[in-house]
Amino acid sequence: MMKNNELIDIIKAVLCEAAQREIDVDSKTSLLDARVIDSLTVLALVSGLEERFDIEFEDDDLDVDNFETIDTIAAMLTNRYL
Amino acid sequence: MEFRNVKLSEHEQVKDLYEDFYGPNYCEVERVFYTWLHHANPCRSLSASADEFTAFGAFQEGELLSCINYVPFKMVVQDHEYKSCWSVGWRVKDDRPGLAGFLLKRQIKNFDFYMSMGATQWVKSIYTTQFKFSYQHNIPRAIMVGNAVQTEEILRMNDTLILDDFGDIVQWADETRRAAEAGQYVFITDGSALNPQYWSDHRERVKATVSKEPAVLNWRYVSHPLMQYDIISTTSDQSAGIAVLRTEQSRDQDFRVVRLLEFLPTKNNEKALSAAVARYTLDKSAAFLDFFCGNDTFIQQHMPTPFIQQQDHQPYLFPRMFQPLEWRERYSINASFRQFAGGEAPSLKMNDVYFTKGDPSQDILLNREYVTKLL
Repeated sequence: MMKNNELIDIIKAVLCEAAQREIDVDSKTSLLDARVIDSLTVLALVSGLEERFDIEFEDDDLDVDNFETIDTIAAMLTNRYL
Repeated sequence: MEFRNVKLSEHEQVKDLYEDFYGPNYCEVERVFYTWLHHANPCRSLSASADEFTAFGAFQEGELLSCINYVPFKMVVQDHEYKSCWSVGWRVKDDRPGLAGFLLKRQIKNFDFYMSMGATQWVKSIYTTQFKFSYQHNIPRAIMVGNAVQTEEILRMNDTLILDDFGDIVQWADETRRAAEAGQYVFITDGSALNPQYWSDHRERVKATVSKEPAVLNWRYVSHPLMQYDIISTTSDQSAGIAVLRTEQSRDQDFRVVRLLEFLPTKNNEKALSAAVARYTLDKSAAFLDFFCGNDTFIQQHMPTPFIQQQDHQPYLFPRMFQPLEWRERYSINASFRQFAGGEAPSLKMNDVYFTKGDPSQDILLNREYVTKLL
């Protein structure tokens, strides 16, 4: 089982790659409220995570609640896919 | 959050969402047009029930936060039909950036083929980078010259045009005149009386096509609530097939063009229908006619002189838009295409598909001032 802080670091790295810039947010910051992600970044983040973890998100998981913060993304991945 | 089609009773929410961005009185979400495009479509039942619009929304506690308007259609490949859709516009509330991404990701895989025309750079980047769409910057086009003098005047307005010899234009106008002398046409005004022979011949002619069956054409062109189209054939029994056209008057200049939306001759009647189109173009006193079609092989093989092929008219840089007259390359008539169907579906490329600028809903920016049907 991957440690949570490792997972968070990976998600941050995938997020930066998706946004094509450095993003400095803590794991509890709302990504949408902080205007960190837009539609293109969301899609790039989803496909980046799918590729990184060799998974395919279920439709029901593609929801703003699950992608609200880095913590919620980590929780979803841990509970549902890893 | 709830992701689903928009209900008929929720039309006002769609209107508000789009008018927030485009301003009040926005034609495309007016009830009469919206109901026609997103409910009266004979292919609606492919993806929406009788109490729904073909609009996919993200809702939170009943509030519409983001929406993708789409137009379902049948992609016909030989004898098989595939559930497909045109995307015709997204909106997301300003305070919900990113939501449209989830919406699109959920919606897109409900269809075997997904297409879009007129994508902005932003949408194009989403389609191509995230969904591996193929993208065509300019859909192939056939031209027919009606009036050589006017056409030359129009082309000369383009500062970037290098050519200075318009001999071809004169020759092409002569060819149109000769064809028109042998041409005749009648108007087909009853959309329910379309002779379906054109449709069976058309399916044999192309590898794949957006459905152009009579019910679709009747809906798309005859029952359009705002735009006036003409369906013509050579005779009232429509034995030579049909063409769909409209005339566009430039608002800034004293010329008009004929826009051909469909060219659907029956077998061995390509020349007769071309002559009918030539006659129509001259009768409308149009400078020229154009026809955008995604399948360039169709243009090359089934649109004889006086239609002018892409490679021949390309150096003249015919303008693509007239309201206002527009030369800049960024105003392309572009298309995006993605196949999701696997299994037995044959692999298609975008230029295998007969689609035209008449798909899916608009062949002109639908500003109120361009409406041509009396309300």
